[in-house]
Amino acid sequence: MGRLSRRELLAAAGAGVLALPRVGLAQAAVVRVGLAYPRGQYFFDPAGVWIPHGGTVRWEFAFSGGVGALMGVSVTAFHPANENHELRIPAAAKPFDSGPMNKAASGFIRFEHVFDEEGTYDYFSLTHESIGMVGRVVVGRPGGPGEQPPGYGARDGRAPMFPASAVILNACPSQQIVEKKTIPYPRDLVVRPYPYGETR
Amino acid sequence: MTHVSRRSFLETGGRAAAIGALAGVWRPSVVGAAAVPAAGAADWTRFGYDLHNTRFNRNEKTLGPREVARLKPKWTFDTIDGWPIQSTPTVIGDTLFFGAGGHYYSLDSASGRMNWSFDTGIGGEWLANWLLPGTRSSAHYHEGRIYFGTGLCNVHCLDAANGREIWKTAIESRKEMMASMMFSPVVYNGNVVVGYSGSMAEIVCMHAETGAVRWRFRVVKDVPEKYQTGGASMWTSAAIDEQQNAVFNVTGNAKAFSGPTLYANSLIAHDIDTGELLWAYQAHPQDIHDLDFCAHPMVFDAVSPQRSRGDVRRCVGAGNKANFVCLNRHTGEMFWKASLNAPSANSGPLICATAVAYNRVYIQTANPTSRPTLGLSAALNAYTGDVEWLTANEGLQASPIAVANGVMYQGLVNPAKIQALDAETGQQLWEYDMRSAVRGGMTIANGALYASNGEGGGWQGQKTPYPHSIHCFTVDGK
Repeated sequence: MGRLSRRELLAAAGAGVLALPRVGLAQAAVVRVGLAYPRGQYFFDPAGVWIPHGGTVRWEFAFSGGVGALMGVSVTAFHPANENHELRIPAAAKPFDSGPMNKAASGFIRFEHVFDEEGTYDYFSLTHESIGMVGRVVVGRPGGPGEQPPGYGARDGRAPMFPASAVILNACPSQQIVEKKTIPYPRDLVVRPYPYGETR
Repeated sequence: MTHVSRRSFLETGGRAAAIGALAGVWRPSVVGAAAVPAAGAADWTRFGYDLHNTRFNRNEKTLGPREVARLKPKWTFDTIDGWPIQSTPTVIGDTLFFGAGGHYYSLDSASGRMNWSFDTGIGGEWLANWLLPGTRSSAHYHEGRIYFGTGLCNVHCLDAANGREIWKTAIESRKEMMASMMFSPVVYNGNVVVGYSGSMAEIVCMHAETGAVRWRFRVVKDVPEKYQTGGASMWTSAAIDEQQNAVFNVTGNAKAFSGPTLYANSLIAHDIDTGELLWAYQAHPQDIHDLDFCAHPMVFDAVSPQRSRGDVRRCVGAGNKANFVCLNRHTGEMFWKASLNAPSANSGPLICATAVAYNRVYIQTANPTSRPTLGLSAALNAYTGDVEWLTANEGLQASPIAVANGVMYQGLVNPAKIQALDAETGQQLWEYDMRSAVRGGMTIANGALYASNGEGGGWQGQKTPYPHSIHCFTVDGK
């Protein structure tokens, strides 16, 4: 990524000059891919992250104590090419999908993606979206289909948006991501009754 | 040959001398260097004692409430590789089978001397990890053969007489799937049924003669197979209902949540010959809280407290970390559910701490989240689930219990003890301090108690200053 585009971006952001992004150009923003809080939550933390145009996000996943069975966690863009999900990334952007993050040579599982198009990117874990394992990346200025309300694609026959996923996405307003750079995983919003599904 | 005469003969004479002397009397092809064990009066043939997984030795008549106070150690046998013991010994007459670490063993049940040991191939890097390797599977003895699984997710069929392998089947050998078999096989009608734990659990039925797989049931079908996940680990053993030709299994929680996660956290009934799913009961859909079924399914008939004519419930019951459920074994409909603990990932009747006898369900439950932590032993009415007696233990527990002749036998983790309780009242009759946490199952067979010492959950393969052993207790140690 050239300096020019960054200058352009800063100029466009206007007041944003004062809130220079902490994410360097060379280094990537890191999102932790978590297994579980004691309450059984699977998460991306931070749930919302800002990067400059052309920046990189790296998702990291660590087994605890070298032991752990595969969870099939993935980093997958909301895009019709990915299991018919609604489009929630810029129309010109290529859909990304890590596939199941199962192979760990070093104990750490990583996935990196370079974001070449400005706008709002929503992504999910293929096997855990039903319990709210989703996240948002804002690249430069927010915009595009990701700004539509979660679930808008259902009328076009796209896969339904799980309520817990909508809760997390709604807790990550793009403008707030731009201002704060990161929004931590809002773990208190999707707590399930314990034990879930038990009738007494 | 009669069983009694052979046993008494072996007890009086040395084993080698006996076999040498008998070789000329009996058919050499059968006896040879080592004979198939002759059945005893009150054998313990598999993990759950019988096909119903009752863990109740109904044939035991020697050890009773009056005798247990005189239980004394008779012999101990230390594992070769120093590994803790988590399995339940199988006892057939004069022979005891058990597995731990990298070996499966055959011992003389009267003296503790080793007949043979079998190297399961577990070693090297596998030994560096507590959860995956080792052997927690208990052997099922059937017609001169034993069947067991290992931490490498292999199932072995051995000649019980000499430990020679008849067949071995690798159920899931892809290392990244972290498959491990703590499950104890059940052998019925030419079938061997196993389950395993790991990324993606399956119930597998094999041909008992050859080990060839007859059918597989991948538990969490909601999760596409390409994701190599799903969870629903199986930790225990299966139970059989001969009338329905059904096999019952219980599963742990799911690891991925693409749908309702059927059939994770469930009690499942299959036709054993065809693998047809008969019914399933899911205790917790989409369970993200790790409330596995960690106690074995048990098949039993429960009689109404009113003793109304014909009022018998045909039950299958099993404990998960939130409660114990008792279902109609023909339909899966619920009869009753009882909870003696707050649900948590470490609560409930851990590691198969249940048994069924005398129209009662015997259960230990762990309450690690209470202050102070609370371990309970209780007897529930098998028909209603009502508590008949309940007693607090000195600590928590995580080992399979056993019931025989009016006595319930149990192990504690900390303090490390084995105890005998009156099965009618819960009153403690006897206890014995063990070297380390009791994790293996209690076995009562032919007038002896067989127990073992293992390690708690924090053990990571370190050397211990004491051995891990099978302990045999008899009246006055005789």
